[in-house]
Amino acid sequence: MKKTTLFVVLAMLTIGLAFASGGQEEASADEPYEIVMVVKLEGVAWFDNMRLGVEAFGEDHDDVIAWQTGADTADPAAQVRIIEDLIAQEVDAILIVPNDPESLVPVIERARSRGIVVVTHEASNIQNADYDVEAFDNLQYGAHMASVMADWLGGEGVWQPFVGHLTSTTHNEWVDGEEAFLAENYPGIVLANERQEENENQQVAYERSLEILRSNPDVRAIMGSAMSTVPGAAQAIEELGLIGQVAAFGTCLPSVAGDYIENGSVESIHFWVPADAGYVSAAVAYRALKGMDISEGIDLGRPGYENIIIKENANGVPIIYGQAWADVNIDNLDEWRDASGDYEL
Amino acid sequence: MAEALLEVRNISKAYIGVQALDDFSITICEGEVHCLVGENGSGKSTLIKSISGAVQPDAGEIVIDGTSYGTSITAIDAIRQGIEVIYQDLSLFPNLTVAENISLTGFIEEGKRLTNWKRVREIAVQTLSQLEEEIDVELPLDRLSMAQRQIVAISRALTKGARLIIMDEPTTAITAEDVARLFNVVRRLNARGVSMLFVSHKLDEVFQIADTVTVVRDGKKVGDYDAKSLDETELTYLMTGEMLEYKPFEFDPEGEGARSLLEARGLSRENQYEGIDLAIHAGEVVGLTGLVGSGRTELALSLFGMTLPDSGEILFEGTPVKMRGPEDAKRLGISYLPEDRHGQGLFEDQTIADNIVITVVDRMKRFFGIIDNNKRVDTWRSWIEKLKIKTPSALHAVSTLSGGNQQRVVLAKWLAPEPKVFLIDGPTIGVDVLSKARIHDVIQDLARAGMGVLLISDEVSEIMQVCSRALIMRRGRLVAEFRNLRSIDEAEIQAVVAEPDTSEEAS
Amino acid sequence: MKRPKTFINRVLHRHETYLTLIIILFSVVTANVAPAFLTAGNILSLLRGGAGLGLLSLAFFVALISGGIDISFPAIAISAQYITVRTMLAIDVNSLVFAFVLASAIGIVYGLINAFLITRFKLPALIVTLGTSNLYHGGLLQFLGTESVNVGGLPTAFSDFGRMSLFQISTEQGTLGISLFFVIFVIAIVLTWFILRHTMLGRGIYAIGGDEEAARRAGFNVSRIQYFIYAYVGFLSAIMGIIHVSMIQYANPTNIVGTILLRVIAAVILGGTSISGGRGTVTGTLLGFVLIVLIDRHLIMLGVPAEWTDFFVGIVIVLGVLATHIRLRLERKRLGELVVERAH
Repeated sequence: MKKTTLFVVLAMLTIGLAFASGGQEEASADEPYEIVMVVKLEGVAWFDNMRLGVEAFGEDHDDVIAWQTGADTADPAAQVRIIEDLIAQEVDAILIVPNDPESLVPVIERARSRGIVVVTHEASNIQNADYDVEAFDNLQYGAHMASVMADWLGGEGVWQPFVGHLTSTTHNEWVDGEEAFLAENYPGIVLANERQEENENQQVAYERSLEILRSNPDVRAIMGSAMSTVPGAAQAIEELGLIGQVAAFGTCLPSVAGDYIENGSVESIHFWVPADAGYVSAAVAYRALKGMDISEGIDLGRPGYENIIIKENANGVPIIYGQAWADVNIDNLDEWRDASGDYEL
Repeated sequence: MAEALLEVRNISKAYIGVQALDDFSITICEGEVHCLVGENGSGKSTLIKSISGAVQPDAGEIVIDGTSYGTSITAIDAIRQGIEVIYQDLSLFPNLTVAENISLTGFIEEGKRLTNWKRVREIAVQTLSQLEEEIDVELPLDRLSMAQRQIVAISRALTKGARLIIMDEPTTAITAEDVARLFNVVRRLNARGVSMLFVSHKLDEVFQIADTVTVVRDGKKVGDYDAKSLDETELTYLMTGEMLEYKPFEFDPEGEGARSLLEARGLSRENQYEGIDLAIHAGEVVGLTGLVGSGRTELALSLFGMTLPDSGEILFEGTPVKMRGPEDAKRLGISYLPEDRHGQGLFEDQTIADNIVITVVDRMKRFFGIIDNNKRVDTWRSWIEKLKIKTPSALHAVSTLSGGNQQRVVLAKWLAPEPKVFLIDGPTIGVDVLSKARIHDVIQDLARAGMGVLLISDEVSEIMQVCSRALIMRRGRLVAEFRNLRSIDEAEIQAVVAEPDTSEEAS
Repeated sequence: MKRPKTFINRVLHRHETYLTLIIILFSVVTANVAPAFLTAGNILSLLRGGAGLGLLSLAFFVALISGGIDISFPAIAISAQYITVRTMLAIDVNSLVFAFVLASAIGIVYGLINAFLITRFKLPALIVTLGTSNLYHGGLLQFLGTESVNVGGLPTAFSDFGRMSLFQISTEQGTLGISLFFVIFVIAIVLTWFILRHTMLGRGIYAIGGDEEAARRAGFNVSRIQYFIYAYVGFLSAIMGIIHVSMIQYANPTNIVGTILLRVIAAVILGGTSISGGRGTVTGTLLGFVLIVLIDRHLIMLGVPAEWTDFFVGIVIVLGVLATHIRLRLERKRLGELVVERAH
């Protein structure tokens, strides 16, 4: 190796280190708090909506700069790199919707050791964040969806729950909530089959729904967990000419299920509003930075988060729950359209 | 003399540094069966390619029916003039029916877009009937024997109006009985005025069928001969330029000091062989022959522990042994050279050296399993020397060697463990005369050094040349033993091999 | 050597016969367990829902026959589908004819690219199509994005197409009829069968699968035949792409890829087509496909718990392929091919 090359490399390393250590002293208490949301991936409607909430929080608070970033693929490694960059930039708080909570443990550790507040969303099993924000408790959400369905069924009938994958913790907790609620309150509502999986694939959801409806004519409701179940089931209901007798329920968005709500094959869909979750995550980080109170019952300023519940998870991380589900049916569908007539979500 | 159909005049062809053909001429007349014989690498295939238009000669001319095509006959010219080459691989489609194999190429030449199954069948049936051969044209080709496939290939050539069919080594891959069948077809063709050019290095066949024999050596023509005027010794001399002598092996199994190495007593395996009694003695070369399906290979597999016999016993050096697999056989000191050289014996992409030592590499391990490289080098070096393997370097891949040399590598591989008994199945299939003679010498030398050898071969002549006694198998039984092979006529043994069973069939 | 001479003997030794028996057996069992199995509605919806898988099975079968393979068909199907949908939205066209023409063109071009790489550079088809599969799908996600088009946003031509059927009658079980998807599938079956059986092109495909070099020597234009094969695979895949979006009313660029490959391969191999090429029939492929669809679409009716679905389908595929392989090998052994165990 040439001596000059070696020298240049050493020189660059030295200068680099000098900059790095110099940067560390710049932070000052008078500057506004910089709060950054790192989402799973950019460019999809869900997280576009979340950005509105994050930015709204910045607009509502003069001492906050809030913005959102994310990779263009849902890649855990890309997410780690972005967080590393944010640590280097000395932001004050990082909000994360993790692709893979496990893979974030070291980088969250590093961030917190530099005094950065870390709040996650949709990661109730997180190991080491300061807080995690969940729109709702999964069992409660399941119970809520089941109650809507039970009302429509008039208290009795046969129903079929679906999950995306049988290994999905969240989906299974929702269905657990549904089943527990119905068992307790509506003994007249019975399962057609144990929960089925549809692999987050609309065609599979459609085919399995057809099969279920054909093999058991008593089935009157299909309850979805993954985004693809409701439209798949709705197609099957429509194809069999069962609109009015059978309906699909479950987690979905207006843009996906809107047409089926209009034709009556879907009765009601449920979700949480990402903008609100983004806003509330930022609010939690802001309170933590300012040393303000974060305890059960406080109002975080968004619908469904007016009266929060806090539970520690198995790792000792406080999880903040709202009751922030949105119900959409034929009556309020149009409220979800923007000026041009497209659905916002 | 009949009209000359094809004349090749003074053709020369050089590849980089090698004169493949040197001022070579050959004339093939209408209705003639002509044989072109020569060792591997003597220029036979270059000649075929020159005639069929696959290779352009440097000088000379090719004349068909008196019309000269100079040096630049094209493949299409050759086919239009009725010259068809059937290569050794036959270029048939194993997955298509016999009918399609025969008729499809004609359809292609006519530029047809659609097939017409009725015509495909008609053409096939009609062509086969010209040859007086009965083959179910609806069968897929891969259900046919090799000889039947050759007949299909010939039929296909006929549909294209062939007047001269050139067959490259047609008898290498087929058994003696199939050769006879093929030759019958050739005679029928001949009677219809179709000429044949056989290209071969197998000698005994040449005499059975040929009118004229042309001998080529090192790219030069040695001469044209009337087949009837040649004998085998003479032809071998013409091909190789060396006088090869056959020296039948002398050994008396009942003599003083004859020591049995491997012995079978009443050995039977269902549907394969039955009631086999045989002994191989130290210093003996025993020949075993029989038709395909007579059980000879199956018997060898059991003697090597590959399959377990149902009943009977195997003795090694007088002690009964039970071999549960080839590993046991190897441990006792038995080696087996399988029949299919490419499939079973060699790793063609690896070096010659590695192929030779692979069977003994276990014994060269020193501490921690590190291989003693000196031992390794000594081993392959000595075997390359002993077997006269011709190669610039032992580190070349086996695939670079000629057939005869490859076969010697196989021998070296199985000899390296220095076995006491060597079972050899078809060691000279596809090997030219000179290499064959060298391999025979090696086998006899091994026996002289005290090894017991069982040589399994299709060719009775080979057994007569190499062995001290011959065993004949038929339908799974040992039916005859011949000693003093010098004094016995080949035809006598041949008759026993092919004789149809009568008495046993009844029982 | 004895050969099957009589008609019955020949039938008994056909792979198709065994498949048919298994299908009948499965149907009898299912019909007994689930009365809904043998209803007109169920069968018609199987015909409709299975058409896409069927088209892909035919495509995969043709490539396999030629001794090649094309595993880029899911990527081609989704690319043709999604590019077509997005183009129609961008230029505001709502025509089914346009959709078919554009999608077919995309499928054929992608197929020709496969063929070009395979014939021009003499690369193994498996490697080429594995590569282009990523290229086509990766390119789609990269250049057109991952945004899905929902039922409301989709040109209505697709949903209209999805509802079209012949001989419609209204019943309590909804409107019954023979879906156009199935009609297209039948046309593709007849077309494929005709090409393979009655054209020189088709015999060339078999010939290449038997022995490529021999095919060349016999005068077949091997490259041209390969161009046809891969273009045809692309074409059928593209048609499947349009059928798929018309059926589920939803275009997502991550659909099809990753979910359908195994079932297509299983259908074709169960159908008795040799992985090494040259052997196999359209009938066998169709029966293999029917078997896969029957199993895949009736596990809930049969009461197989959801946790067991993948396991069950996996078992059926492994056993089926194993049985097919062993049966075909025994068949050859029976016919007298000497199988001597190899020494090494």
